[in-house]
Amino acid sequence: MAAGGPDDSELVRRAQAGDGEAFRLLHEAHRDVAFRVAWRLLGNREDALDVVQDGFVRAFAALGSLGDGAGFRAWLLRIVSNRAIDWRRARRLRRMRPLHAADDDAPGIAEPAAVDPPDAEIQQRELAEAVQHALDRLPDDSRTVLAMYATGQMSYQQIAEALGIPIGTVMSRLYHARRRMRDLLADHLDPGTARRSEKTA
Amino acid sequence: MSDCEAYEGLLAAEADGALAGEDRVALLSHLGGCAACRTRLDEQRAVASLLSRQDPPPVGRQEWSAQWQRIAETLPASRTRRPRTLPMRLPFWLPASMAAALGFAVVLWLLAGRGSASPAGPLQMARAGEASIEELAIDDERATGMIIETSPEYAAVIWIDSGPRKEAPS
Repeated sequence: MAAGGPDDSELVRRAQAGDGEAFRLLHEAHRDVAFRVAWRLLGNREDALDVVQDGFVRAFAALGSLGDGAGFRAWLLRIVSNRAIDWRRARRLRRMRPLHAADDDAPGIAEPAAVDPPDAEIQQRELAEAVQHALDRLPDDSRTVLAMYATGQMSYQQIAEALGIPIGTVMSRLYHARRRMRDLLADHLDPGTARRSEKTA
Repeated sequence: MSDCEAYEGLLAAEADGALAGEDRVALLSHLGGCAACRTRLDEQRAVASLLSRQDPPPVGRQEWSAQWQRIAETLPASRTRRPRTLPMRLPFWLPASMAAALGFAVVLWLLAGRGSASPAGPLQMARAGEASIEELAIDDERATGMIIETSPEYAAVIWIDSGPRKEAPS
């Protein structure tokens, strides 16, 4: 939200009264954080954009039921994260379909790059894939907390409000999610940290 | 629950720099005598740092704008309608109203002209009907007529009276 602009309470109130510009401003103010959460949960840019769009459509359709406009962001992110989890399940089902029935969805063989990317870029890509693979193996509730916190824009309190859980549960889920990530990403973490972890596990 | 398990959530918060007050004092006291929890704290910090270094792919303004258009299409029309500007076309009732006003003015002018010798009254009323009363000279004969401009190129003239020829001022 730009400094000095209308806050969420005012925008939600105006949107509830039918002000189209208020809807646009709400989208502009919260689309980035919604995209960060969706991308962290899905690991795919296009899927994340689709989920963000779907989340806003659902949020706006149900805006009349939102009492306190100040909680719009937490409420929106709850909708987006739920949609992302549903999306993941649907995607997993699509992948399990027989090959002959899923020709259209099957990922094609990647075209060879015209120019080989530099080593640093390859390493970054491999790391990103490893992180996403580790995130995919977390339970939904832990992954959601981790994704929300990893946006860098949500406090424990806001995550607790978004998910309707106590703040202690947020901290606990965060702890266990990171422990699991450490196990799955041992090769990519600081060797000293991984070695010490193995001794204490 | 072991003693260490009670500090799990606090370790996550400490790694994020979000711990303060009594909870932090208690955790630091525990860490002083527990090497295993110190290692767990390092783990929490390492994973948090790894995740924070990964930025999502960029999304351009045009892409966001296109998304907003798709979202706006799902909203009821009244919520996305822009404020109305002045209509480009005249409302359908305007020409009829103007014609009626003009006709009314003519009738009033005629009625007033019969009952009054003064030309001031008819003239004023005729102007209210967007017409003008002028003395006309045709074939050297002078008359009074009402000119009604219907367009910049055309005008209608209603003959009212053929007045006596006026002498030119000397």
